[in-house]
Amino acid sequence: MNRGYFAWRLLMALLAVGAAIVLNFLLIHLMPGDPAHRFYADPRVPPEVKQEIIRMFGLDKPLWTQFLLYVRNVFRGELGISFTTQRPVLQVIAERIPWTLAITLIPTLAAIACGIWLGMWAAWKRGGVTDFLLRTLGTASSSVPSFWLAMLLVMLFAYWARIFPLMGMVKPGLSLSESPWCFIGSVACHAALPMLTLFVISVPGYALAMRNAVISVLGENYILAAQAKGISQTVLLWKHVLKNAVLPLINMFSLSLVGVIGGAVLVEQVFSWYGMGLLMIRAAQARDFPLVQATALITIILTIGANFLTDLVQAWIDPRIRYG
Amino acid sequence: MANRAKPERGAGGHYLRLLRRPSGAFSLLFLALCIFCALSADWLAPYDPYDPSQKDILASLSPPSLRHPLGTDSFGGDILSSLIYGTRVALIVGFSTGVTVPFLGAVLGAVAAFFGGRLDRLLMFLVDVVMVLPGLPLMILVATYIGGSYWIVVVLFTFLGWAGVCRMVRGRILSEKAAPYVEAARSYAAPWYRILFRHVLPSTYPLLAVTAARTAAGSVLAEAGLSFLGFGDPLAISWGKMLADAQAQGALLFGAWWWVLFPGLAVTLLALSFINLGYALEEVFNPRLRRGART
Repeated sequence: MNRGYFAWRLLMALLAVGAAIVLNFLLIHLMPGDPAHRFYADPRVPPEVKQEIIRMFGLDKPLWTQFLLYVRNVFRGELGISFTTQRPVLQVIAERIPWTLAITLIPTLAAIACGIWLGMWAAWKRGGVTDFLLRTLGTASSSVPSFWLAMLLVMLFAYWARIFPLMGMVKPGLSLSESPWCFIGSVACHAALPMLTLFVISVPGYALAMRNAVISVLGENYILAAQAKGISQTVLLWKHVLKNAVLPLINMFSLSLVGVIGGAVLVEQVFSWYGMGLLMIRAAQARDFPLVQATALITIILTIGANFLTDLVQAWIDPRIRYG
Repeated sequence: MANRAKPERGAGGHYLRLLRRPSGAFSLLFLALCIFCALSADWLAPYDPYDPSQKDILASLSPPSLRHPLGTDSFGGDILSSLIYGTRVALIVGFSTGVTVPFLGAVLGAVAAFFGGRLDRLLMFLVDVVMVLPGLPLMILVATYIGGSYWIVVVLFTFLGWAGVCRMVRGRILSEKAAPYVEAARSYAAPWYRILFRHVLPSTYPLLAVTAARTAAGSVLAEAGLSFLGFGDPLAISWGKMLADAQAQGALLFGAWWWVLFPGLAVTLLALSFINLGYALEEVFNPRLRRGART
């Protein structure tokens, strides 16, 4: 790995995180009203207590001191106490992250695998039925709202067919310690529809990108040379074509992460799947400012981190990027 | 390159191509329908969804019928009427971002490419930062503080969307800057703004038209999403809000498919129309993409 490239990308990622922190801080102070108002909104609160609350939150200090304090706290992992649950927000969020990752990461990886295979097939049989369907669906899928698809799937598989549960994460009454297998089975059953939604919505995009990449690779001279050597179609596709065609897909994966992490919010809302997204919505509805802010910040940091990692993977696979 | 000398001739013919493609014609037709609905909603809609007295409470949750062609919601509100009124929010958001995003992106991209140096590096750094910011959580964050409104979508889409356009326009202008015709313009001492606005920037118009269409599609979807989460304008009827009500008031539990199907279909078709328009415009501007030509 080229050190300069690594350092540059790392610097960019850190600066982006910094920008997010500044943005987060500014947002509180640009907004009208007093952030601690809810604590002394009651007129019965004596002025001394009000002063004490303002002092406790550091709101009497100049803005830049407050900013430095905020940055220090962020780096210490102290993002505040949730108004609604009275617990450190980081703790509340940490409990929800695995649930979101479970329903986003698995379908995304499955969609990429499926997309590679479908795209390869469509490109090889260019102009065929698969190709036509893929191109149509690829355009259509980018304009279908994920939450609407989720609602339709609920209608189909939970209301009419009654195969999967309507919503929630686990059958009430089951606990992980008492009956671990029943618990895991129930969670998987509840996770099926959210995962199916995210899978269905992202496959055509990946497949279409793969198809276009494969078609452009198939026109290269080295493919002609490989064909002239008389190698089999399987080896040609899965060894020679795949290596170069998969590169744009990694780039796309990195860009789609922004959408996947953000878009999970909508799907979680439909299924009442209590992950980070639903946590953020509920916090926003309850006007639990520290929690909303921290979820937004952590979502942004997760996105930036994932982007950084895919950048590195891409540079590791494709040496041209490091010097580009 | 050669036929750019006289772009006027035959351009009208190219625009007609939009209509010749089935998907292009369909998109234009649907867009026209939406605009018509938005403008004439007041007399076109059979009921007024903003007027509670016009809700047919006895016929709540009824499937499509002659009185209510697309069925009713749980308070007996006519779905078709809400759908017609909902075009307004969708089109306002779509058209606003479709203008602001390409405009801001083009201006900043042109500035970056034309002046180069530190300004260029600063702008490109900002692009890198903005590109990785997730839109929806930011919109929720802002909506928590200032309350729900569809203008949040417009502002944040502009704030986040310019980056991609800026990078594209910059790349295009950088390659265009080295073209012989720019050198020719320089040689007769054309001032920089003339070169930029008269010669270089027009070469990015096709790109901008395509971006405008795609941005409009994206913002229509984003507005629907934000309203679905309950952070849209609480007073305005929008397609996303209809779906939010359907979700919250148990359309899925009662199997009220018409309440879910039609608003979502409207969002999808409008977004699809914008995207298809983008593709069609791309084809109009880029002869190499036309049917028959191998890509």
